[in-house]
Amino acid sequence: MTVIGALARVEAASAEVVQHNLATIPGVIPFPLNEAAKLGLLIEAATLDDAYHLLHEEIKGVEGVLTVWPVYVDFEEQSLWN
Amino acid sequence: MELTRREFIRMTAMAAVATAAGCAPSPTPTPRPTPQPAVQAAEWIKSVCRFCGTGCGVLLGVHDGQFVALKGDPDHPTTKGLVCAKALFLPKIVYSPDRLTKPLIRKGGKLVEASWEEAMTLVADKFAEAIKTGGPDSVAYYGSGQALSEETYLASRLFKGGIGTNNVEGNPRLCMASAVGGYTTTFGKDEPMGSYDDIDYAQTFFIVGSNTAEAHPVIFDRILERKQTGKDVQIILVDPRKTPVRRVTDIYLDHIPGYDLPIFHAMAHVIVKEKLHNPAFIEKNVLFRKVVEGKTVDVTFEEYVQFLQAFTPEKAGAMAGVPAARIVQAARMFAKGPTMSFWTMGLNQRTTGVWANNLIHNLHLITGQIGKPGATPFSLTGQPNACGGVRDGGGLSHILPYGRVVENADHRAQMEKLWGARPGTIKDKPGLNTVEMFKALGEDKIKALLILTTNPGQSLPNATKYREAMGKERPNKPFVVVIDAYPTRTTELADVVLPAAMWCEKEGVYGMSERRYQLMPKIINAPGEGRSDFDILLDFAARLEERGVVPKGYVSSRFKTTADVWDEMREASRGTVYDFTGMTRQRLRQERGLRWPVPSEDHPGTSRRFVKGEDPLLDKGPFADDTLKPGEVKFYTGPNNRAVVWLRPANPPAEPVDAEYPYVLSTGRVLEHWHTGTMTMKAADLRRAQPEAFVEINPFDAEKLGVKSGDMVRITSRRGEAIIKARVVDTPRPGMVFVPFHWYEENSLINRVTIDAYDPASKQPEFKVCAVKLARV
Repeated sequence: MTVIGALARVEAASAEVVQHNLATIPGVIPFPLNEAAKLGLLIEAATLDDAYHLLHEEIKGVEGVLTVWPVYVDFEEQSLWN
Repeated sequence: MELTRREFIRMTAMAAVATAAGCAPSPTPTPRPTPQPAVQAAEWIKSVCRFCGTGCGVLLGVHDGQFVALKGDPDHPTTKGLVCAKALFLPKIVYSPDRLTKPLIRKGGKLVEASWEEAMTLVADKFAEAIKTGGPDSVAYYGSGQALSEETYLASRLFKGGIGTNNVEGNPRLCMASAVGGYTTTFGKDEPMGSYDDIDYAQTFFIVGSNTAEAHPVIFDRILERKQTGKDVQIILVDPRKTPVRRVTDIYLDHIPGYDLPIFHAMAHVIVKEKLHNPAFIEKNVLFRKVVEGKTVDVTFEEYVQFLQAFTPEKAGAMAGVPAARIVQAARMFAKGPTMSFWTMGLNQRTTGVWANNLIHNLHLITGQIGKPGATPFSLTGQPNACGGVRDGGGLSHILPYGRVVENADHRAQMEKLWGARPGTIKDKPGLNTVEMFKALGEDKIKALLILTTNPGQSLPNATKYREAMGKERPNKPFVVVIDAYPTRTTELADVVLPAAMWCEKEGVYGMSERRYQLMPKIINAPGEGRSDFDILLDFAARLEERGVVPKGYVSSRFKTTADVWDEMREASRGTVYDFTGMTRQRLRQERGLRWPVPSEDHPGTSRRFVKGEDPLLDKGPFADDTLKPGEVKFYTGPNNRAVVWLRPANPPAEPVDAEYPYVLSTGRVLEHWHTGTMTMKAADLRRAQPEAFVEINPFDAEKLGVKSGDMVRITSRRGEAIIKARVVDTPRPGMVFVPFHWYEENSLINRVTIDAYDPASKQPEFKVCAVKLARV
């Protein structure tokens, strides 16, 4: 299992809708950060590659998400030799 | 409540995000129990990302001796906890199964495993033989902006001061040499005078030939943050390709590739015509110069104004293919400021690269948009240690450490004394530049070449020619040694391949774009028999000493560790404008890097050079000036303490399009991959995200060619061809195609197509412009 913490820069005016839409993605838990233009994201997936897919494809595809920055990754529970 | 390790990791991840965002998470999505003592966090060790020149601070998580986690370092003063997608995969890249683990020697046409003793004996014998029979200039070194500072310094020291050849080059010649030429011709010495701090004060960002959003994403985020939080912060973009930067741009100038110099002159024209220039700043700090029949001539401001008459917005717009009105808008916005300019390869990888750099500096100098918060010309760097290692440390054929040049007798004498070299060992002429070095290899004039941590078999322009130079079997073929952590398109051409440790497997210093030097610790061992490049260089030097081609003890009696070399480097910087004598190893272990000048151990480092009150060299030493008021600028490295505004011609690229080759090819990067893909292609999902090479073709051109997305397209130049899948997008302007250079498969090697013409001043090749024709396959 891989756990990623990420910071999303979003359109402030639609932050609540963006958070709602992000929450519908399996493996993604968005959380507010007391700043309208930013959301925190907790991403969990079986592998680092799967987590990256969520980050790169699913999350970035949500309307209102401007950029996403991975801030933390833990891959202790998976093999790196693949 | 008992806390599982997974829950602990989740909480750690959330806390890291909140810290990076500069605020607290609220509300939490999951219960937040109190951590139990039984749960052990990884040990977090501060380090630096090893990709681009941004120099992002990272924390490496180590658990049970394994590298198990990575996070952005929230305490890092410039990157503040952010990293990009590439950094996520660093552990996977380190643990890649195709790491080289044993020395390889070519026998019977094949690379076979060998012992270190056998390999190093062969390497030393071949180099010694070449030096004894052909002289010092029959050998050469080709290094990297990814090697540690200590490694580059040691290699340069060995070749220039020990063997006695200036045939010392590195891949920064391919990416940064024009920026070096720009800074040195305008300001007298290399490297940006400002820092990332300026981003937080700029009102105008002038981004030229830089896909900052993908190539330097963390810097781009800081720019975005400034634009979101500042009032009326605006971005001007000059780029023939609509990169993701375009999405946040206020003024966009998509010029014909290779024809941006007229734009810069036209902006200057508007600034002067509308009296937006800064006469007081010019009077005190600026000289005007041009070159006439090879000689530099001082001219007046009035002559400069007259020169600019040839570049009205209308004339320049016609030359560059952009609306004149946008040039006028850009000029006004630039002059208003504070303005921070960023540029990278779009400006540097050109036969007019130095001149283009000069013209950016011109705009800052005539407006006085320099030396105050938010106002500075800032060249972004492509590699993590091109600045600290190769540029500052003297890793190119014409330079010596810390602003010295080989053509200056005093500089040579200073380094010979410090190095303990025999007087006269350092040659008084530059060695071969990169393109000429590989040409000489192909002509068998270079008999032995050591390549360290770089992949010229893929990255050189006109690559077929130079691949043959390195690898084509022939009588008396030169001997090529490659030190690398991975198999590459260059190791396949080598006679000997030596397995290298990488990044967190060795300790040393990286110096990034804003003059910040940062220490990277060793946290794990290299796989198999891999050794650090530093250890290999030490071994190599000792063997050359034994064979009598380097003075006995020249290297072997001086250094055991990179820390030993670092102490000599600090000493080499003493009294120079780079002075970092106060940057001890101990300080680097404790701090998140320091920005030179750091002339004493109690100095905190320098955000802005040339500014009284910020630059310590204006307070003490040979450049001190007590007549200046705080905030005043003095370009103490320039002629008569001034910077130079150059009257440069707006020459066209080396190979303009014509009827036979009607399209401009430009190469560059994508977000997921880095340089020749040696590392990032190891990560399955980075590879999946961008699985194969592509050529971007504008829909207007695609229709003419009968090409649609997914079709294979043959791209042909006068030098070679590649066959690559089409992406029909409006990203490049009509008449231009763009291909990233990351992919190494045979048909995808785009550098078989690019041109090896280079800037006569910087010797940097023109990767950004060559003429090609296209055909659907």
